[in-house]
Amino acid sequence: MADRSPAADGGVTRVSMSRVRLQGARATSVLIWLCALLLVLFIALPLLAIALRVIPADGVGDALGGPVVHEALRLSLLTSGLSLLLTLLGGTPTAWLLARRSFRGRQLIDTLVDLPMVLPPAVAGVALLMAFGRRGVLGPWLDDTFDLQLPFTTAAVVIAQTFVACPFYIRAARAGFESIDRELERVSATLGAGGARTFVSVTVPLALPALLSGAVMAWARALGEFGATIMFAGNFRGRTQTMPLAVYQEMESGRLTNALVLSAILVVLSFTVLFAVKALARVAIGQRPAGTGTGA
Amino acid sequence: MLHCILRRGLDRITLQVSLDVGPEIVAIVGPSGSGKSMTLKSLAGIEPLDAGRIVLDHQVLFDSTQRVNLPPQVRRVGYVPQQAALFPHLSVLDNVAFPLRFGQGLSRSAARRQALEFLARVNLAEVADARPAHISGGQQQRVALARALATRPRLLLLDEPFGALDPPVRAELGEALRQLQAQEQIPVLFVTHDLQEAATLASQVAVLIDGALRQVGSGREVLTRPADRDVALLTRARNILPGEVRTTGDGACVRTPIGDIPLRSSGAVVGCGRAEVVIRPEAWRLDAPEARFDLERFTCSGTLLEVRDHGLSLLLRVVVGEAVLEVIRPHGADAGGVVPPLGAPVVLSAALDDVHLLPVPAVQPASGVTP
Repeated sequence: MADRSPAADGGVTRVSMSRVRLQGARATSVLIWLCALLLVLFIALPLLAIALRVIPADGVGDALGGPVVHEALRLSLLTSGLSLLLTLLGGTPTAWLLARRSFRGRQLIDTLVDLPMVLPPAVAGVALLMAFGRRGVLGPWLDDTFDLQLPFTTAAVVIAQTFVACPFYIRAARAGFESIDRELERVSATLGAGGARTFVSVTVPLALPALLSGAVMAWARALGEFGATIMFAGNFRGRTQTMPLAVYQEMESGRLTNALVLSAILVVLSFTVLFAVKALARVAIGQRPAGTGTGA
Repeated sequence: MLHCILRRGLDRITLQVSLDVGPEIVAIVGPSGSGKSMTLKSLAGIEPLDAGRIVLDHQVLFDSTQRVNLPPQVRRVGYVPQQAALFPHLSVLDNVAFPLRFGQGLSRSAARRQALEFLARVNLAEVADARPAHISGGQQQRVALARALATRPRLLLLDEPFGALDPPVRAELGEALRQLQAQEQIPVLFVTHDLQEAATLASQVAVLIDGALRQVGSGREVLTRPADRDVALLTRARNILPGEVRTTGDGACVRTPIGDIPLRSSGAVVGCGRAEVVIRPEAWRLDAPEARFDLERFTCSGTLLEVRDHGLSLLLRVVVGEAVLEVIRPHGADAGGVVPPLGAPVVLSAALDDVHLLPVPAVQPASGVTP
């Protein structure tokens, strides 16, 4: 008994010590969850609030069928679709060059291409006006040569959206191209496939998850574009008034229902798009064979 | 069949290879970074060359003076890289169908039909629908081999094809490669750093060190008659002794720290002067002290320093004069299977045929020319 008690004591002390530590850990854990919960609520509440106000509101059906919502929706889908097309056409080669070729000024171009992402959209709008406006750098030439005036047209909306959204695609596409094992492209050449064939049949399929998620992000950004559009394209219903612009104007004019309906559509669209991108990324990671990291 | 002269300046070394290969298997061995992979890649056309000429079946693939440089997709050179490099987004069957569809322009269904035949040749028809990630490493290599064969290559290049595989799988794949080469009758070049594998599979072994081909010969030649000290070290020849060749009344002999060794006239006669002697650890045997004098063998005596068990064989380290010799003997091969105690005197002998002379590289500045 005499020589067992110290050991027993020690055991008790250890147990209670670890229990204390456990309680401390639990308190920390509760705190972490609490903080996270508050933040999630902070983000979710305004979005829920839109839904709460839209559902019981009178005239939702009228608003949905009304010309303002209808035209804004049509114009947004048209312009964001076109800007996505432009982004894919110009962004894919750019991303490929940035990923594959080393050339003088690459760092500069890399930074330049990312710039619209951090630039205040209003600044982007001013910049576009200074470039393509009537008294801008290219504006007079476009006017003289092609009789083309870009500002305050639907084309200006597409330009503004592309300017702001294309970096999202280029970044993702570049990372996608960089994550591909170059050996696969070399092997493709030895198997008889030329450069274009290799790009279509090897490079693009392997980078597809990145390309898709980049495209979706760029499209979502274009859909939500406000500042650059209103500066460069103005706010004309049916011509340049996309959904975010319509939300702004309807709110200003006190037509809350229209603003709410448009907002709800944008929230649902954006959520769906983001959710799809994340699902896509999960699928892509699942598909990768073991040992091939995502390099990005 | 293949005639090539390649030159390419790399970071540390200059790759300079001149090689003629018939319808046979040639192994390229050498330490890492010696330019082995680069040699294969420049033959395939996926790495550039500074200068040189590649002729395959009388067709010029590359010639720096004539400014010919065929792109890889028209060279019809099969290339199997280190990690098989199967396309992860395609099934095994579509991997093999890839060159048939996009290289030879077959329709999707015709390409798949033929691809199945190529897969059958490497006994993998049953995994045709699997994704590459879901088959074993050995199977992946076989698929890569089938895919390379589907290009109907005139030359097959394999970069450490068995590198990451277990020994039994390696042996099996090596045998498959031999059979395919026998059927196709095309030159096959493969890179390995396993000399044993090279000697087993290849009719010629080319030793590439620091970008230069130091020796081309049969596996046995390279292992027993290394061309220089680096090759000897690569083949783990181990016992390299300084020596001096001198002529005596009845022939030449070389004076070494372990004694004067008579030189066989068949050996490389390098003239008088400094040389190095190699006697591989496997060439030695332990003799009984009272062993009869043998004119065909060189005999020396020393003290046993260390014995290490290597499983199937014993490694003995023996002090002879100022030198320490390494001797590898199968278990129980000598002296009735009894290993002498450490410190005991032992008598070693090696056949004179197994004594090999290495030229000593003349010490000179890199740019200097000695008359």
